[in-house]
This record gives sequence, structure tokens and C-alpha cells, in this order.
Amino acid sequence: MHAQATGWQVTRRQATGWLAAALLVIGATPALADWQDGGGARWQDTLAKARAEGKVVVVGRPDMAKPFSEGFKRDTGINLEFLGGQGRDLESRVLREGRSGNVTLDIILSGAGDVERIKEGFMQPIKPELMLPDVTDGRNWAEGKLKWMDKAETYMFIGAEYIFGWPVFNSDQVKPGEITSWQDLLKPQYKGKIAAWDPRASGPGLAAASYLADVFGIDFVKKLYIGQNVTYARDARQLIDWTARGTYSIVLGSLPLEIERFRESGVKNLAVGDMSDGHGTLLGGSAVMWQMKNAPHPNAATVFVNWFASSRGQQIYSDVWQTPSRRTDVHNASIPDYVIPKDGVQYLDQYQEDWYVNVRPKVQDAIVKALDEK
Amino acid sequence: MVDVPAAGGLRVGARPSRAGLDRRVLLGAALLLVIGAVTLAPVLYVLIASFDVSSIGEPFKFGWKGWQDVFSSTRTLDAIGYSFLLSARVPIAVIVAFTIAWLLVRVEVPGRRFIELALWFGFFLPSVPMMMGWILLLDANYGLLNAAAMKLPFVTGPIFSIYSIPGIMWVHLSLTTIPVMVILLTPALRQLDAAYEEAADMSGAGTWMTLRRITVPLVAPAILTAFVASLIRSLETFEVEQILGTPAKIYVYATRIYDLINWEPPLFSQAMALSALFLAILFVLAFFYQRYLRRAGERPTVMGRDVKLRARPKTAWVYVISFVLIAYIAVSILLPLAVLIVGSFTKLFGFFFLEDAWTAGHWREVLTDDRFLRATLNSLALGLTVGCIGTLLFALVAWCLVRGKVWGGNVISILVWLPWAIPGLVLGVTLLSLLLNVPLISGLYGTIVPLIMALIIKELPIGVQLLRTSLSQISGQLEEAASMSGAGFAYIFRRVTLPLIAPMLVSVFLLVFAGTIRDISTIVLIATPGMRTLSLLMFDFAASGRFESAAVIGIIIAVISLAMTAFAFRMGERFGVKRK
Amino acid sequence: MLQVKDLCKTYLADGGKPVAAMQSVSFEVPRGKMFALLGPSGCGKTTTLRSIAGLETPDSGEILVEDSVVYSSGKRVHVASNKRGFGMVFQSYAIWPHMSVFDNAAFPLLVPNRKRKYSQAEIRDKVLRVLGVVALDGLEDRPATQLSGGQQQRLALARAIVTEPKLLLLDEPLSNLDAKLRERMRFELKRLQEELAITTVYVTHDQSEALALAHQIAVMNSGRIVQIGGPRDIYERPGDSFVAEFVGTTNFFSGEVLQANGRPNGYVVRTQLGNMEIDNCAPMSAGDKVVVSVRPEYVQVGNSAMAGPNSWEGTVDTQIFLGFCQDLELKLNGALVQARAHPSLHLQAGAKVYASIDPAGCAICR
Repeated sequence: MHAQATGWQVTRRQATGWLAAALLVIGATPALADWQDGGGARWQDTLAKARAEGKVVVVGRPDMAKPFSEGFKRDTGINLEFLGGQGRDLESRVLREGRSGNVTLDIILSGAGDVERIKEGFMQPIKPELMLPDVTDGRNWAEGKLKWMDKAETYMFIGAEYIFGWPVFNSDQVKPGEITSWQDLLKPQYKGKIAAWDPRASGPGLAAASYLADVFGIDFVKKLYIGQNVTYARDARQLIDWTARGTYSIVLGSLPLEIERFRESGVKNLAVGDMSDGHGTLLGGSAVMWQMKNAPHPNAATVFVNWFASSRGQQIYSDVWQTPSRRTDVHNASIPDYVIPKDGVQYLDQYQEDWYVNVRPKVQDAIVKALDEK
Repeated sequence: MVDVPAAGGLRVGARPSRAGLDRRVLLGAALLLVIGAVTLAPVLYVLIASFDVSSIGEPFKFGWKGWQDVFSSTRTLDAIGYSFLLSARVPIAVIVAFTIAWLLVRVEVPGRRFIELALWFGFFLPSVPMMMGWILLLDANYGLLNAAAMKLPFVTGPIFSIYSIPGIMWVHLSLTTIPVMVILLTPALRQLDAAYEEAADMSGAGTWMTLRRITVPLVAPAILTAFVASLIRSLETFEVEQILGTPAKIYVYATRIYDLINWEPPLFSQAMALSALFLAILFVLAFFYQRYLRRAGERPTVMGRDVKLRARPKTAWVYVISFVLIAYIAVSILLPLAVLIVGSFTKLFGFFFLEDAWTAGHWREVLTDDRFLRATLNSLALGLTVGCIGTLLFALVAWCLVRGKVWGGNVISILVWLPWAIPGLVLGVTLLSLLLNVPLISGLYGTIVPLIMALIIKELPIGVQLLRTSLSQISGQLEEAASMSGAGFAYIFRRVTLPLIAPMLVSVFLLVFAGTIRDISTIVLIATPGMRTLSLLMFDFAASGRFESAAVIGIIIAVISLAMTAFAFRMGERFGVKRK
Repeated sequence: MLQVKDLCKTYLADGGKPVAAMQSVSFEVPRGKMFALLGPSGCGKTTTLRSIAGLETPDSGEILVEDSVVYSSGKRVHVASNKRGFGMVFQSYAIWPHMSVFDNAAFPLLVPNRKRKYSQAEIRDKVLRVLGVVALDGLEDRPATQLSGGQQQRLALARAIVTEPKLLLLDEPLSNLDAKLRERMRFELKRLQEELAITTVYVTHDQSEALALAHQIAVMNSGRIVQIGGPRDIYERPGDSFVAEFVGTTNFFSGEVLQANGRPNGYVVRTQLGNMEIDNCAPMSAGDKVVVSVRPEYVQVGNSAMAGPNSWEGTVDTQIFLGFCQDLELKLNGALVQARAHPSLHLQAGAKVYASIDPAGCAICR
């Protein structure tokens, strides 16, 4: 296809599912012993107590419910109860449980936002809980070390990291080579042809706009979103649906798992743009893990923390979310290229405490001011 | 309060004496306390939180900033404006629904059972999947109806656009507002003695005059209840506006609150201040509603002797009307449902044109998911429990208000509306906070009890109001007769009162049942992973972009509700007053 | 004035069983007369009345008022009920609770598209006059819900006659009133009907009401008219045992005609009492099996032997003292016979009595 010359990749997706499944089967038997190796007496003790506790309660995006429950049960014999839901609903609940001390949840898998809650004091330090060599060994991780959302590197562990911010095109309407840079999007012929995740709502919409504001300044954001009369949506599926049907030719802020699901189902006209003047921003998606203080199942929670950071948990996570794990031993064959960070490229990393707490609020305010129509 | 033995005043076991008065004061005080506690607590929470300008982690700090900020924003004012514009669908629905209900009850058009059941079914269909059906039909770019219309001569462009004010109104009207109003008005009309209309008929009045001068005034309390309830509901609906409104830059009151809560960091005080505005609107509505009912409400229209339904004579017209109604049902409910069902068998919802577009995989995926069976059982258990307990409680409260003439009845009547004073989304947060922080009930967190309580509270307004209007239509003499036969309160309530209002009881039960198994916002925050219901499972699927699986569950929810409707109708006919 | 011809209607009962509500119901009501449809509940009298009103559509038949067809299955005519111009009083009165007394009565005058439009003053005048006729004057501003049962009944009547309709239809108008009030209203109705001379069809299940009010009575049973006649005819010459029993109480004696007794239309019938002489009946021949109906008040009772035909001796079985009369059950020749006697006659249960039956007081039912 046009991957080499045109400035964006039309990635193949056929048979990768089969490939992933095959790799999983091949990898399964030996790995069963692998991930827990060297855990020692402390691990065995924790595991025994965890089994006595019977279950662990994990909160996160609903996509992970089934694969995580099945995977965790298979690997540890412990039941995993998954509480899925949409961002703010979950957060409300977590926050109020944490503040009241009446806790029924053990582990939270979420985005970057919770970093603001650390100071409230209801997070359990999880660094001390990471005990499996498979997890703690820096050689298993990109850049030789584990990544944390918090500067103290204690509370919020980040398992995966991917490139976000790229536009998606309808390749029937936008011909290869037509758009190679962000500036191209300002051309008059694209006015009214662009849809985006509402940039004023927190989540992917704001992340994409923040990235553009960071690289090109707030004026560019204004020119793009307002000048080009961008249509907003609040649903990832709706955005991709529009692109595939050609309602809009260009979409900003869509998620890889939606794109890949469409491609897998036989939609062939989705193309992900690689822009010469900006390669995207780094996000952790929902791969940020933290534990509640006074968790009702503390040992099971410890087992989960280790399992999630192990090759087992990370493999499942990256397969579901179609984003690459930071672990070097996780099979990325099924992951589309456009989300895998390239060596030697500088990306804006939004999943750092400094940026999130100090820079983001200002950017966010500027964006909202610029984009509010009145 | 001097005790005048007016029509409809039954005092069980007590003559109008000191003892009777004391009993009514006691009963009233107890009722006031309980209803006051459950309804006022969330309201107070909202009010207090609206003045809390502390940032996260800090203790309460008083300030007006939330109020100032939210009402000085033009976005807020726009949102309120759009909300009221969209609520114009309520008067439209009143007219259409009253017409349909009247045709069903009085004209007895052929196929009325099918039409009535279909409207219930339509109401049960979860709105998000059905909206997907409508999008597929009415999208300006690829909508199937637009494509079909373009084949007609003189049609050059798309004639429908769902991302618009009419689009949002149509989706609400077809799926909720009209069906629910027909559901609310049908029993009221059914309870009305046909002789009232026949007397007008014999006086020479035509259908129009009879409707205007006789029928509508007589069922006005029920119409008003339906109107107020729908108006309130219309202001707080959220999902449809979120998906259909955002692309057209239509933001409404409820999406604005969602935005404020969803902000990073969340602007809770603003969200709560905005919610409090709603409270004010509701108070005004409830006050006038109450005043109206007091002035004109308590005139029994069922005297007990002739609760017979008599259809009007059939003419050729009824077949025309029947055709029109069935066509309306076909277009407004069956068409999007068909699209939904077909869509649930496509790999990607509505992508019929792909090679190899079809699959039964979504059905297989849902039906073999172990969460599915558990969620189905949870939904059924919760729906039946809340439906039965709730309906009975509502009937008791309604009885106390209408017949008991308890002390403080007027205050209670207004309090009863309060659970709707708070948008579902905010109510969920409020309930969770109360549950976690109030010592006595915090032990219940994580069990099924708070779910049952929350859902009963949420259905309290509609349940009590409907049964209240229904009870006030029944002559008190019917209960007095039972009292004179020496029956005690419980016996009279069970054997006389409840059977007399059976049609409305059935409706309330079904509304509560459906409300329960469809509910997301009230319980999403307090349901433990083990207590996930079908609606929450559907919500999970929809939130992760799996519309096809969400559609499958939506269809299943509707089918369960439909089976329950058929069953409840049958039970209602067995225990209620026989018609015809 | 009103002609009802061959009305038939069948509907499906619970379980889909067809029930005939009317089977060839035919009658005529002359102008200014009151006609009663009398029968037990479910006999079809209300269906007949509602068919005349136009509130129900018969399956077949014809209804004419002043020679104009308001319903005809053959000619496919069905004038809507609100165009027939009749007045009607419902069993439940259907007084509209949301209106005042005045508004209730004025409603029929406010209907548009009538032959004439009434001015405010005319309406006021007519309504006050009609309220005066039914003795509700002074109550016109009351809410209708504050009326007593009898007042509601009169208001319903006022509403029905305010437009001076061609035909007045009354559906058990007195059945919801207590006994005293009912008797008073009976006279009121009769007086009003005669004063206004409105042709009236009256449905009731109360035989004394029908006998008291109507010029003509049609007794209905199972959807059929079994007998039409004046009150006296119906009472004294019931056509069959159903009518005899439904209209008042009666004694039945089954028997066989032996021979004519020599008087015109007089016969001797053998019954369990013995041979009875019966006068004034339709021609019969010897050997016919018949039932003889004898009203209790035609059984004459005394303390001494009586002369003439149909005299017997027996004992008193039971006695009920009613004040204005006494009801007796006598044992005569082994048969129980009901009799009504003057209260002055002193009799005890078990006492010996003499009884005789006037041959002209016997009716033959088949």
C-alpha cells in the first residue's frame, strides 16, 4: 500500500489476530512458570493469603472486564471482580470511597487525572508491593526502568504508553499525499469536513487539542477548530463511524482500538495520518494503576499489582487497547504501527505529574477560552 | 381543621373525633419525617455543595463563586434556553398521546391491544440503542430513509437530519414522551365512567365539544400529572442530547451539568448551583400542580356502580384510525427496532455494504458471557423487588394523602416530587456520598439494599402522583361501605382499594419495573461488581464502543419488559374490576 | 311516533360464546305516551334503549322517529346519537362533577350547529325554567357534586328535557334512590311526563315502577319481547308464566282443559286443586295442557264457607302481617296457595279457612 511514500501508513490488520492467538498459545506453557519466578517466600505467602481473601475488585474501562477476569483467574486462581464504567462515574465513586474510608474497591486502572488526588492521602504506596523480579527488573522495560505518573514514583504505575494525536482520514475522500502536515488541515477545502472529539471536554478531545496548542500555539488551535468549522462528538465510536461513512473526511482524537475494530470488520478506507510537522503526544491511556488505602483485599491487590505489571497482564492490556506496553517482552505484532513510539523522536509526554499539574490547567483554560464560540 | 365528612373521607376505625384527629396528626408526622428525610437529604446536599468553593481535599468553604460563575456563563444560559426549546415536545406529546389514549379506550379501534402493547414496548426499549437505529435511518449523509426519499421525484437532497432540534425531539417523542403519556393517560380514561361522555353525546354535543368540555376537564388531573412529570423528565434527559446535540452544537441543561462535573478538576459547586436552579423550577411546578389539585382534584368520577366501559359505535372511520395508529407505531417504534435487530447481526452496526457484513457473533458473545446470566437475574430480582415493594408503598402514601387527610398532607405532596428535582446524574453522586458518610446507613454500602432504596426513591414521584390521581377518582363511599361491613384497614386496602385502582397499579408497577431495569444513572455509582444489572452491562458495552452488543442487550431488556407487561396486564385483569 | 322494527344484536361474551342481546325486538310508541321496557337484568332492555339512543348499533333492524329513519340496517342509515335530538337520563345520572348545576343543565343549549343559536338571556331563561320544573330552583350556582342523590336525578332529568326533545329516554332513572324518594319521584315523573307530553321510553327492572308510570309495557326476557300491553293487561292477563311471575307474585297451577263451561270463552280445567272454572280466555280445546295463573289478591279468604265456583276449604300454613294487608299461604287440597287478605281478617297459622277464586281472575299461560 502507500505506507512508504505518502506520509501515512495504511496498516495491515489481516491475520494479526490469528498471529496473536498463536503466539499466546506458544508462549503460554513456559511463561506460566516464568512470570512468578524468583518471587520467593514473600510472594508465595502473599499468594496464599490472597487466595484466602478470595477475590480482588478492580475498577477500569469496561473493555478490560472480561479479558482481565479470565486472565487473572487463569494465572493466579483468584477471582477478579471488574467494575467497569465511564470515566467520571468511576472517578466519583473512587474518590468518595477514598475520602470516606468506606472502601470496597482494591485497584484502580485509570488515566492521568488521579495524580491530583495523591495529596488527599487515600492511595496506597505500591512500589514496595512490586516484588516479582520479572516486574522490578529494569531490563524488561523501555528506557531501562519502570514509569510512574507521580514524581515520587510510589503510587501510580504506568504500564503502557502510546502515540496519540494523529488524524484519521477517509482514504476515499482524502487522497494519499494530499495532507502531509498539520498546516494542510487549514486549507479551505477541508472546511466543514473535519470532526473531532469535543476539545473542551476532558479526555481524548482535550489531550489532542493540548498537544496541538503545545506544538503550534493556541492560535493554530483556534484557526483549526473554529476556522475550519469542526464538528464535535463525545463518542469515539461515532467519530470513526463518520469517517468510515465519509460524513467527515478527517477526524481528530479517535482511539486506536476503535480504528482497529473497524478495520478488522472489513472497513478498508480508514487511513491514519503521519504528519511531518508533529508526530503526536505520549499518553498512557488507561494503563495507570494505583491501589486504595485500606483496600478490602490487600493481598489479592498486591498479587494483582504484580500481575498487571508482569508480561501476562501487560500482554492482555495491550491486546485489548491496541496500544504498546512499556515492557520489552510483550508481543507487539498485533499493535498498529502508528501508536508505537519511534526511537529518537521527541514527543510531548502528557503522563507526567509536572506537566499534568502545572502546565495542563493553563493550556486547558486557554483552549476553552479560545474555543468557546462567544 | 374541622372535620367535615366530605365525599371521599374515610377514617378507618375512627369517627371524626379527637382520636381520629390525633391519629391523623401522628400518621402525618411520621410520613412527613420519613418522606422528608429521604427526599430532602439529597436536595440539601446539592444546596450545600453549591456553596462549597473549597478545592479538592480541603474542608468546606462557603462562597458564592459557583453560583456566580455558572450563571454568568453564556454557555449556561444557552443551555437552559435549548432545554426549554426542546421541552416544547411535551405539549406536543400531550395532544398526540391524549388523542391516542382516547381512541384506544373510547373508540376501541381494531388492534388496540397491539397498539397499547407496542407503546409499552416502545417505552421499554432502551433509548441509546434505539437512537442508534434512528441515526441509521435519519442521518443526513447515510440515513436509510434519506436514501429512500432521494429516489422520489423532486427530492434532491436529504430531507431528514437527526443531528438537529427536530431530530432530538423526534427521538424523544417516538421512544419516550408519547408512549409514556399514553401509558399514563390510558388508565385514567379507562376509569372514567363512559356515561359522562354519553350524556354529552345525548345532549347533542359533537366529539370535539364532548372532548373539550367534558372528557379533558374530567381527566385533567391525570393530564396535568403526565404533563408535569414529562416536563421535568425532559429537562434532565441526557444521553440523546449528548450524542445528537454535540455535533450540532446544541448543549442542554443536563449536558452542561455533565460537562461541569466532567471538567478537570470538576466544577462541582457550579454543577450543583445549576442543579439547584432546576430545583426552583420544580418547586414552582409542584406548587401550582398541588394548588390545582386542591382546587379541583378531588371529585370522584368513579361512583362504583357502573365502572363499565362502553365503546362508541363502530363506523368505517375506526378502520382508518386503526390504520393510521398502526402506521404510526410501525414508523415510530417498529422501524427503528427492526433496524436495531438487523444491526445487531452486522459486524459493524449499520455497515451493510461491507463484504461479509453479517455475523451472529455479537449475540453469541453476549449470551455466552457469564456476566450476562448474572446481570439478567440481578435485573429481574431488582425489578420485581422494587416494583412490588415500591408500588405498595406508593399506594399507601397516596392513600394517606387522599383519604387519610393526614396532617401536613400538602407539604408531603410537594416533597414527593423532590427526587426528580435533581438530575439523575447528580442524584447518583449524592446518594453515594450520603451512603458513604452517614454512619447509620454506611454499613449497607456494598449490599443490594441501597440499590432498592435508591430506585424506590427515584420512582417515588411518578408512583405516588399517579396513584393519588387514580385514588381521588374513586368515591370514598366504596371504602366506607367496606368499613361498615366491619373490615379492618389492611383488609379494606387489600380487598377494596387496591382492586379498584388495579389498572393504575398495574401501570405503576410496570413503570417502576421498567424504570428499574433500565436505570443507569441512579445505581451506577452504588452497584457493586456483583450487583451489575443488564442496563449497566449494556452501558459498559456502549461505553466501550460495542454498540452491537449493547443493541443485543437492549433488545433483551425490551423483551423481558414486554413479557412482564403481558403478564401484569393479565394479572391486573384478574384482580381488578372486570371491564365489559 | 317511535317505531322499532326487528332489532337484533349478538355480541360475544367472555370465552367467545355468542349471546343474543336483542332478537327481533319490535314495538311502537305513540306520541306523548310513556312506554316501559321491563325485564330482569341482562334481558336486553338497556341494549334496546341504547340502540334507540344511537349509543349502540344493532346488527339489523330499523328505528324510525316521526317517520324519519334514524337507524336502518337495510338502508345503511345510522344517525349519530348527538344528531338524533333525544334526551336521556342515565342510570348513574352522569352529572358532570366539574360543572355547576346551571352549567350542567345549560350544556345541551350550548351545542353549536343546532337549528338555532340561543342567546345568553334565552339560555338563562330556559335553564331557570327547567330547573324550576324539576324543583331545583335556587340551586343553580351550586357545584354539581354537592347535590343529593334525588337532586342529581332531577338535574339529570332537567338536562335531558331542557331542549324539549322529541323523545326522552330514561335508563333506570330511579334505581339509585331510596324507597321513599323513589315513590315520590315516581309521581313527579308521571306528572312531568303528562305535563310536557314528551314521548318517553323508560327502562326498568322494577315492575311496580313500570305499572305505575307507563301507558304501555313491553316485558323482555333473554333478548325478546315476550308481551306488550297496558299495565292492566300485563298484570291481569300475563301471556306466559315468565310475565306472570316477573310482574307481581302469582300462583301457578298446571292442568288440562276438560271442556267449555258454557260462558263465552269459559272453560273447566282440571288442576291439583280440583276442577277450576276459568273465564275470559283465548279459545282452547279439550285436552290442552295449560298453566293457570292466579294472583294472590284474587284468592278470596274467609272464615265461613263460600258459594260459587272454585271454592275450597283448607288451613292457614303461614301468615305475614304487612299493615295494609296480610299475606297468607294456604293449604288447599294438598297444594300451597298464596293469598292476600284484608288486615281486618283474624287468622292464625293452623286455623281453618275457606277460599274461593274468581273465574275472571284466572289467566291461562302456555
